[in-house]
Formats: sequence, C-alpha cells, structure tokens
Amino acid sequence: MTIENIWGAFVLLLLPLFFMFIGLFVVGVFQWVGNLGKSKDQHVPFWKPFADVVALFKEPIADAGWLTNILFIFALAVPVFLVWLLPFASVPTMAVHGDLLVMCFGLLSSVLLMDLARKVLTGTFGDNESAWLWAFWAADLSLIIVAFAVVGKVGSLKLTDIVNVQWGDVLNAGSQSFWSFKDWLLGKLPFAALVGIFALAFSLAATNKVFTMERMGSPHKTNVGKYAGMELLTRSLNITVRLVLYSLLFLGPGSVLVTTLKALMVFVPAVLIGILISFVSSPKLMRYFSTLLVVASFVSLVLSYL
Amino acid sequence: MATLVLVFVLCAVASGLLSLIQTRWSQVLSLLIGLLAVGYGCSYELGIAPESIKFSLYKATVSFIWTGIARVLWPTVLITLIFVYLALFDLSDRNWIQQFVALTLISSIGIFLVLTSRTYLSMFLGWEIMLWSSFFLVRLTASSYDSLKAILLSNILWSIVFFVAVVLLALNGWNSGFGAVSDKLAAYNVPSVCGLLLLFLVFLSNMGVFPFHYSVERVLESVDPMVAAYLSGAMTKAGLFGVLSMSLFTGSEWLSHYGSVVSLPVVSLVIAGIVTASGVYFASKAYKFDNRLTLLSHISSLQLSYAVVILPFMPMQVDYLPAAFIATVMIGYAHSLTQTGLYVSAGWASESVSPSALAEGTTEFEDQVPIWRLMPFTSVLSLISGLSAAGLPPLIGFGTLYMVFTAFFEVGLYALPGLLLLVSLCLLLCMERYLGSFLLGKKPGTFHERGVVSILVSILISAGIVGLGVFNTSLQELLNAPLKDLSKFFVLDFNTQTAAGSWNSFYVFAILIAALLMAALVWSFGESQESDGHDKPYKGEGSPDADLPQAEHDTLNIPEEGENP
Repeated sequence: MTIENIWGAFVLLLLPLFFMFIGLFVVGVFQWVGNLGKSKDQHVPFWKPFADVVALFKEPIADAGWLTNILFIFALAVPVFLVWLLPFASVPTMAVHGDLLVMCFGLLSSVLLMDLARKVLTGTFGDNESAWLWAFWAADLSLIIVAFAVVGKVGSLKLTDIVNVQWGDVLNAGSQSFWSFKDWLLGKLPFAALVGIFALAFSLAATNKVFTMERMGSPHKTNVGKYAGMELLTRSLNITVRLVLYSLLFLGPGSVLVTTLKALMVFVPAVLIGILISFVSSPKLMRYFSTLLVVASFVSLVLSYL
Repeated sequence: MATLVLVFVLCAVASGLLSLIQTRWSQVLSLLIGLLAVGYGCSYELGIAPESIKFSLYKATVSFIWTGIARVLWPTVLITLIFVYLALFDLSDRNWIQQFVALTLISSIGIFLVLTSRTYLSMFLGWEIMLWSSFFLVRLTASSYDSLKAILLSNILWSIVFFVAVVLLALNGWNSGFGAVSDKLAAYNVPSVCGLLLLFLVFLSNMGVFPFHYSVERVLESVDPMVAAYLSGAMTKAGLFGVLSMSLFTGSEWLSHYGSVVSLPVVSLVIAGIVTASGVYFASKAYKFDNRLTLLSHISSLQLSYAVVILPFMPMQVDYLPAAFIATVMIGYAHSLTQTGLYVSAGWASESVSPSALAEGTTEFEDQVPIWRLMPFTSVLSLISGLSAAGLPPLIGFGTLYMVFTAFFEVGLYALPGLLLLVSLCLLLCMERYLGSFLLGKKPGTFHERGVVSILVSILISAGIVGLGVFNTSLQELLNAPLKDLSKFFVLDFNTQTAAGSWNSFYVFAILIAALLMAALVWSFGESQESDGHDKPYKGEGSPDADLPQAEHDTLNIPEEGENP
C-alpha cells in the first residue's frame, strides 16, 4: 500500500464531510438570500445552518427508539453512499462500481427514508399530501428524467463515460481543461439543462420550506435535538449531491474543487429561481408547478430523443 | 438434477407439515403427495423418470416438460410456499390451517403443471387446477360474500376465455403445442392471433395488472393476509410464466415477422401510457383509502407491470437472453420475496389481541403502542421488503429494476424509461404510505412477536432479499445454464455488465455498509438520553414519544388520522 493509496482513502473518507459543509453553506446562502422582503428582525445569517447543527447535536434529547435512529442513520447513509459513487478527476472514488441507475434509485430512496424517518419520529402519517413534499419528489423525478436525456445522448449509463464524453476533444488535443465548455452537454441539451436547473431550484425551495416549518431555532420547536440535526445534515448533503450530479451531467468533468465550483455556479441561477418558487404559498399552485416540472422534464427527454 | 430433487424434497417437507395436522383426510393426502414427490424426485435423479410426460386426449396432445424457464421460476413459488407454511407455525389462532396447507399444495401442483406445460391444452388443465383450488382457498377466510362472488365470477369468466383461446390456437390440426402455434402465428393465422391476445388478457388478470386488477384486488383485501401472501407471491407466477412463454416459445416467430408492429414506439408508448395511468390511479387511490391490504395489492400490481411494459421487447430467439428476459425472471423473485415479506408481516400483526392475552383470558386494552416498538423483527422485515420494492441498491428489487431499465436502453429507447420512472415513483409513494401506516399502526402493549419461527422467517426473508440482491449475477447465470450443483450458484463475480451500463452488487453493498458506518459515526456525536421506553413496549406516560415534537400540522396540512384500521 503506497502513500498515495492511504492519502486517497483518507480523502475519500473526508469527501462526504466536505460536501456536508458545502451543503450547509448552500442552504445558509439560500436562507440568507431569502431575507429579501423580510423585516430586519427576521433576517438570518448565512452561517445559521452551521450554528444550528452544532446546537442541535449538543441539545440533550430522549432517545426515540431503535427504528427512528436507524431510519435517520440510513437516511444520511444513502447520500454519503452516493457521494462515493460520483466520479472526480482528482480522487479515486468508487464510480466504476455503480452507474447512473444506482445514483437515480439512491436519490429516490434517500427521499423515501427521510420521509419515513420524519413520520416515525413525529408519529403521524399521511403528510405526503403536502404540496412541498410532493415538490421534493417532483424535483427528484425531473432530475432523473433529465439525466436519462443525457444517457440517451451519450449512449451509456456509466457516469465515467458521461464525464469523458465532455472532454473528448480536449483529450485528443493533449491538454486537459475542466473549463473547456465546448464539449459540455449544457450546449447540446439546453432545454434538458434548463429543466434540470428548475428541478434543483424546486429542491432548494422545498428544503428551505421544510426547515422553515421545522425551524430548529424556533421557540415552538424544542427537544428535537440531534434528529433535527441529522435531518439538516441529510437534506443539505442531498442538495449537494444533486448539484454535483447536475454539474457532472452538463458541465463536464473536474477535480473535487473544480466540480464544487461548477456546482456553485449552477447554484446561482437555481437559488434565484428557488427564491421565486418559495414565494408560492398556495399548496394547490405548488402542486401544479411541481407537476408542470415533471411534464417539462419529460418533454426535454422526448426532444433529446428525437 | 439436484434442483429437481431439491424441489421434490421440499414438496415432501411441505406435505410432511400437512401430516402433522390432525385431520384424517389431510394426512392421507399429504402422505400420497410426499410419496409421489420423493419417489419421482429419486427416480428422476437415477434416470428412471422421464424428463417429460406426453399423452393424448382424443386428438389433442397433453405434454409437460421440465424446461429452463420452469426450472428458474418454480423456486419463486416454492419460496412463497415454504415461508408461508413456516409463518403459520406461530399462529395458533387460525382454525383453517389444515385446509389451507392441503389446498395450497394442490394449487402449487397446478402451478407446477402450468410451468412445465408444452401445449396450451395442458396449460389450461394445470390452470384450472390452480384456479379452482384458489377459489376454495379464498373461501376459507373471505371476509365478505361479495368478494367470494367476485372471484367465482372472475374464475368462470377467465376459464371460458382461456378455453376459447386454446380452441382458437388449436384450430387447423387440433394441435395446441407451442411450436405448432408458433408456426401458425408466423403464417399470420387470424384465429391464432386472436387466441394469443385472449391468452395475454388471461395472464394479465392472473397478475392483477391494470385494468384487470379488480378481482385480484377484491380478493387480496378480503382474505387473511397469510392466504393473500400465497395468492400474491406464488399464484401470480403462473401469469408471469404465461407472458414469458408467449413471447419466448410462441410469440418469438411472430415477433420476428411482425415485430416492427409490436415494437413501434407508438404502440410501446400506448402500453407504457396504460401502465403509467395505472400507477397514477393506484397512487391516488392510496391517498384516498387507508386499507393496508388494498395498498399491498396495488404494490403487487405495479411491481408486475414492469413485465408487461417490456413484453414487446422480448427475445426473438430462444438462445438469446436479453436484459428484458432476465428482468422478467428477476421480477418473479423480487415480487415473491417482497410480497411474502409484506403480507406475512401484515398477517402476524393482524390480530387485535395477542395470543398471550387470549391465553390469559384477558381482553383489556392497555395504552396503544406502535407496531414497530412491539414487533421489531416483523417491522424490519416490512422495511427491507419495502425498500427492495422501492429499489434501494443493492437489494433484489433494485437488481430487477436495473435490468428493466437497461432492457430499454439496450434497444436504444430512452423515452419509455422516463414514463416507467413515473410508475417507480407511484410504487414508491404507495410503499411509503403502506410502511407509514403499518409501522405506526397501534396495538395493545401486550402484543409482541409471534414466536421463534416467525423471527426466523423474518430473518430468512430479509437475508433472501439482501442475498439475492448481492448475488443477482448468480441468478442471471442460472438462466444461461441449468443449476447442476447448488455450490455453483455462488458465482463470485458480482459485476452486472449490460450494453448500457454496469454495476457491481458486492462493491455497492460494501460501500453502503461503509456509508452506514460513517452516518452512525456522525450520529454518535449527538447527545441523547436513554429512556425507559427504549426497545420496550410503550407504556404511555414517561415514554419518549411524550417528549417528541409533533409535526406542525397547520403548515403541512397533515390530517390527524389517528389510528389505522
């Protein structure tokens, strides 16, 4: 075992933590941008999620039982698992052992597990009728359908193939560049890419809405402790996984840092659209928009197929 | 022929169980079945028994043969049968177990005959045995006369349709053999095409696939969950085999001649559209009604719908095994394990008063406690079965979905999988609804796990779902070559390679475990206090639930649904 291998394994272990950090940052920035239109006393700083996680994990709470604990752990484990399946140029991840279908069903399973965990914790069921939770599902479904459009274009489910296609010409020229946008699928599948950004925006808006409803620092919400902390971490990591997946699908390959930068680039339009979406207060309208998003993603798939 | 011996030994074990039951006629029956099974199995191994049985009824030929498809699909029936028998061990409060075991054995013989049939007439005979023994099975525990009437009418209707289909297929020579029908179809014999279409509808009704789900749904929601486990897990495999045999043995020639008509994207989209509509219909129904057994019948129907969607892309040659064929067989395994797990756990939790309470002669109801606190093994079984159906890698349900989706990518279709994703989402929503309802269902504090055998069954089914998921490549190998030796099942190559992509089930499993450990590490940083109610039956006051937050229903519009039915 060489030093490089040990270093590689160490970096691999740190990767989910790094993306959790990015996720919290992304959620914080989204909330901070959401200050617009609010009175000053309602403003939240962008580091609020970090402070929340620390505070929530420190808050003593009664153990809610084995199933609740397992579901929360499992819900966090799935996005961690997905992070290790993403292909990065700088870190030898496990991308070769799983392809886009593993990622897609992992994304859906993570939402299912998080939803179940919340239900078991709160002791209620049937809340899936909520428009915002449907927005989560719709956003994920749209992102996956958009990913299928990319698969149709590339002809392979392997993420490594999808990434390699986007720097093929640069490889031939002998100089690798992560920023050579000529081969990015963003240009070849513009409508699918646009729908993907909307899907991310829906995801962001829905995540923010859930946190607003389950507001950790709220005086009405006490004794949620590490369960809320785990939910915050899980949803933040889920957001990052989706952003990174999007950047790999449409913005080409990159090292961890470059891909993160690209993901943050995607985040900018997504956050602007997401803020607009979060102004929607009518559940009926929200459901309508979510369904429209799914239809649009399917149209993008058909267009890419034609 | 180790597999065949195994099959019959298991039959003998099943009939041995029957002999334990103290009814004279059932003991005689079990003895006969046991002797037949062991005797035939042994003589088969020694080369005395024929691989096929063939005789004539007037002018028509009846033929049964132990083919590769029968070899790989028969275990799906056996898995269900054995697990349901074991699950019944701890249920002393059911007084119909004797008749149930006897009828399921007869029904299973019917399914076996369907799986081994080589002519549509022999399939019809096997089908009728299966169909009418299932009617008596339903009669054992049906909660309403209406459901009994529904299955009676449905059986009569589909029997007539099947018979008409066989007659149409056998016209011009009175030969209903798969090969002869295939030749007629290739010559575009109109009665044969009509017969094949009718048969297709019969198989869809057996699987309970939309829009032929009505009678199956009525039956599954009205019988005892243990009976439903057998009906859903085992009997639907006859329809699945029918669909497979249609496309592989008889439809292949026709498809190779007129395949472009069937595989036209427009026709495919119509089929996918119907299946997607079924998904949306079932998901919307799932939120209107809260009957767990109805939800399970919808889940079963949606799981089997995948086979219908990939039907037009079935193989053109018998010696070619595309992803669509492998996917269909894997659907059989995933469906059997999932449905058995879900129904059996529903059966264990179906009593309102625990056996111990009954024994003590008490009917007092203490504080109600969620099932997951009282029955941890049963809850884990439901959870794993549910996650498998939802497609969590690397469980067998995901292995199946992987092959289903790559079946489309293999033939260059990308729009259809998009539609199929909607079906997956609807399945997921139904599953979420069911699991939420089941795990949070309330029972008296005296309720607990049924017994050691029930716990063992929970562990075995869960291990089967995970194990078959990790060893799904072995399952694929099984389709290529018959299993000569059980040790050869454990192929230590976990890489599923398809034309579109690849995944390594063992690595994926290992990565998931590593991710779980990391998540547990993060979890361990949090502060928590042990509570009295931890892993113990909930006692109301002082329980952790009392301290837990409730969802903000005003914002989420969460209905206060209270208890489960």
